[in-house]
Amino acid sequence: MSEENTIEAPLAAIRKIEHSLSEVIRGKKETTRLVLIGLLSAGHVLLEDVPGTGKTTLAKSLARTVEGIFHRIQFTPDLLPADILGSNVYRPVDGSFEFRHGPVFANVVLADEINRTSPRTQSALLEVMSENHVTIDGVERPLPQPFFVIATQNPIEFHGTYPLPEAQLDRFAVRLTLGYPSKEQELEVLYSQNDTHPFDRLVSVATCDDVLVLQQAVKQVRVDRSVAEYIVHLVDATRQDIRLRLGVSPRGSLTLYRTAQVRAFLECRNYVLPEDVKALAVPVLAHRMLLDTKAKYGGILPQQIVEELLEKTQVPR
Amino acid sequence: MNGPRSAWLRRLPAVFSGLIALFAVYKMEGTSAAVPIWTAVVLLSAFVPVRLPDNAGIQWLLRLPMLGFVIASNLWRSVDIVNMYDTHTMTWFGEVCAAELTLAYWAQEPRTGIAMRPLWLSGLVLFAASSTPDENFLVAIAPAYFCALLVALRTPLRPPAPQAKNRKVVPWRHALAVLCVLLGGAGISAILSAQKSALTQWGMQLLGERMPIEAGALSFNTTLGSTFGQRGSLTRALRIEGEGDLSHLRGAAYTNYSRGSWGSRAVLGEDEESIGTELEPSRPAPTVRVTRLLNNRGVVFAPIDCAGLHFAEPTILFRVKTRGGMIRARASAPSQYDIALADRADNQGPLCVPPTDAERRLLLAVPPEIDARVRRLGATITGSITDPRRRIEAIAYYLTTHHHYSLRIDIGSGDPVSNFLLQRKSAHCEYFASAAVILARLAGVPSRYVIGYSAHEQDGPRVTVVRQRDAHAWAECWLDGAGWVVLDATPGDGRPDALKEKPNIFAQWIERLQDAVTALKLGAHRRALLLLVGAAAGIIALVTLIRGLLGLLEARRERGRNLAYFSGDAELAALLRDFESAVRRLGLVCPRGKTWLEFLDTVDPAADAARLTGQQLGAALSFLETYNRLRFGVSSTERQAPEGASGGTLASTRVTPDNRSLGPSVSVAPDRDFAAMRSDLSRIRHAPGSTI
Repeated sequence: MSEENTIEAPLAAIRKIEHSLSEVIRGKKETTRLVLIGLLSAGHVLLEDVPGTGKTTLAKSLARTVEGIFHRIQFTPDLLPADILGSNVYRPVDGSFEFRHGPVFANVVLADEINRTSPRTQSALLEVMSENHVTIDGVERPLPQPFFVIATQNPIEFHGTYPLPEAQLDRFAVRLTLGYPSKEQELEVLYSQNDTHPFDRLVSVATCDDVLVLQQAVKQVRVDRSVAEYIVHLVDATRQDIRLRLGVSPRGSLTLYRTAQVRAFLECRNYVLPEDVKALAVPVLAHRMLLDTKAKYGGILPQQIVEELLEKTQVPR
Repeated sequence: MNGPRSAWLRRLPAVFSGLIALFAVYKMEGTSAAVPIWTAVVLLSAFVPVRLPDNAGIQWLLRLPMLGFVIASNLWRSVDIVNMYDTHTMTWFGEVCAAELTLAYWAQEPRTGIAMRPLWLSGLVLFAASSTPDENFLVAIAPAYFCALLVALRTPLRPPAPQAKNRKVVPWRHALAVLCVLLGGAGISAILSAQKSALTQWGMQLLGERMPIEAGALSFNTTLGSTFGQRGSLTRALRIEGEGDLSHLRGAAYTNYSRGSWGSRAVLGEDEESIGTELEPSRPAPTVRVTRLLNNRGVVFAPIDCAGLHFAEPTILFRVKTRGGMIRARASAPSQYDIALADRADNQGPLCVPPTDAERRLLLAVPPEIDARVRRLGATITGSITDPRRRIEAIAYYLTTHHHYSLRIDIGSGDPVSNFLLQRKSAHCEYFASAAVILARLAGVPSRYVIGYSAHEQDGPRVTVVRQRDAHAWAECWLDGAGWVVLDATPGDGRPDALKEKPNIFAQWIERLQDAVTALKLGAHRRALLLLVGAAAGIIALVTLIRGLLGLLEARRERGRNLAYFSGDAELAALLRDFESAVRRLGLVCPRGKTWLEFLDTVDPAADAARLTGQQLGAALSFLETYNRLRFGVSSTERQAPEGASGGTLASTRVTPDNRSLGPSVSVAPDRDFAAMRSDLSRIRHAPGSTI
């Protein structure tokens, strides 16, 4: 068996990424694992949390550990779509137009504080995130592979923010929160950053090819029909729930399917268990649902609804 | 704190509050055997974690028989229409709520917070029980209930926000809150206790129940009081169709007078005799039809000289000997009966029973407490008149001309009748009637005191309505040769027909509606109504049964669909069933939304040593690991492949032969795996120190 066909090396690289990230972001093993799941499922990740919890640091750390092109886009209210995607620039020398690539042409794109820009600019990422190419003036320009967007945003209650449209939220594979570290972990953070930041010590441990190989390998993980039906039942339950104005789309069920495969893969299994689906249900489905007004102002959170549905839906045994 | 034990502890205060409420209902007078049964079922719910599915059909399948049991056990009880406090409605309401409460305790519990439905239902049950006259209700039962309720509500309805962990706990605020609650509870209890009668009256009016003084404006033990009952009350007692002299519809008559009271205590059931189902007139006579709208303890009101009585629906009649031949019927309102009216003056009818010698002596007895001056007054009134009829006419004339009517009288001390005759000139009809009886006896005419109604108010052509305000008292005198005659000595302005005011237009419309409902319940429509109600109940029961069965079928199909998750591998399915039953015997039941691995992850052998040892837990985990691999990792055809055949899910050439990097080998060896699972099962069942 030729070496390029083995997945042993890419898998080892992923373990190293995980380890490197845990050095930078202390005590958030599950969150870093979910970010990797997003990466390996060929999806994108949305990090939502209050300021100062390490969202940008995590994104930058991930980008550094993967040897690829990394671009950061700081979203501001005056940002335009062309600033993200690129535009055709006129060359007076020969009278032609030259396409100047926007920062989105990268392997890892950090969209920092994505909810601080106008909906018009946010919508520019719709095509990018779902179809991995950019169309400018009728010309389709593919994005480099792998293409991974990791976006950060503050909670919607803070001033000067624009909520992401539902269509855009649906294009994020997972939505995560980091949360505050525990007291012990925060102490470690203080001492670990006394001289230098752990981020500065990060080196690339995986290549783009590693990621591509793994993205294909995870598709081989077996999903029993009962587990697939479980996913469908779960998603269907979100569409029947009266507290939801909008349930989860088929894109959501597909993402849940794929991310469950990745999770099983990372746990060294070649088959998906219902536990994988349950563990990923909230990060994958919660942000895709739209609450009814009564439920919204009644203080119900989408995660609670997902958890309730998980308890009510019969698990395959 | 998680796990079954903590769930039981969290459930306990809510169950306790429900048990107290059920106990309160049980203490009510006349509750059926259903209540102790519901109590036992509720208690069971605290210990058995099984819950009813969220299927409305199945719940109705249980609800209807429970309600039917409540109805049947209440109907079986004999209705005591003599009961002063007719709280029948509240008893029914309490038992129905108790049945619903029982169902609520067996319903699915919410994931977070507490189940509110059992708590507010227990409040309704307690409200129903609040009509009990038992003093212990306010002193002990209600406070205990509220304490249990407070403890049950202590669990927050939503999980606290993370920031709550950083909030400082201030003990003195907690203590102050508890103190306020205790003081508030004590204050409310004191207010309820002080205002109990007013609250009861309000509550009973709300329910359409009649207050005792309304239900029985005519008391069996009439005491001459300072006011006359519910004078002015517009509540209708009778509705009469037909024409005739109905000015004196007698209810009960009293012979003995003592210290301001007429009659002695009657033991109904012992002092009465059955006289058949009707009093048939000796010859055809004009009739009026009377509709009883109030129970009035079953008393049948009719003129003394009526020729016969006939109930629309056959009902047994009783004659009460100690009440001057009062007639009672065991038919509750609304009911109808016909009075055959006398068509000649001397037709004394079946109610005019001549007194025996002993009775005659009693009817002439003048109590010793009557002032001697009354005797002299009596002699003055009757003078030299020898004819008994003219004597009593003279007495009536004297009373109506020398006394005035008043609803209120200051009784003073001493004998009330003597005071009325000698000193007080104004009183109500009870005094006039009592005085007429005493004076008639002094004149040598056997007499008795009678209470009843005076029908005078026209409510349409040939329709007379009798209201509570038409209650009246008069005297009956026995005249040899003429029989019993009425002696009404109340002045004209004191007679009921002096009150002319009609109810307002809204009350009149309500009365029309009530008449329509009464007409529907009575007469020829009764059977049809029963048939209609029976058919409707039958259809509802049938529909509910069908829905329940369909729900059960659907639930079974759903379970079958779950079993269809298996790719047709019966042996694997059987192994799982054996595993589930083995673990269930250890007292562990996995919720439907959890996998076995997730569930066992929460089990701590150190804490639950009595149920599951470490060895058993290890065996269970080992079983599940093998099972999951076969169940989800290998298709059924691969499971059935010869042992050692490679297969599995990663059939791509990109996979290394040994798949070291992916964990367990995918080579299929079902026999070996099944043997391993059976061995694990055996260890679960027969671990040292296990309870099986």
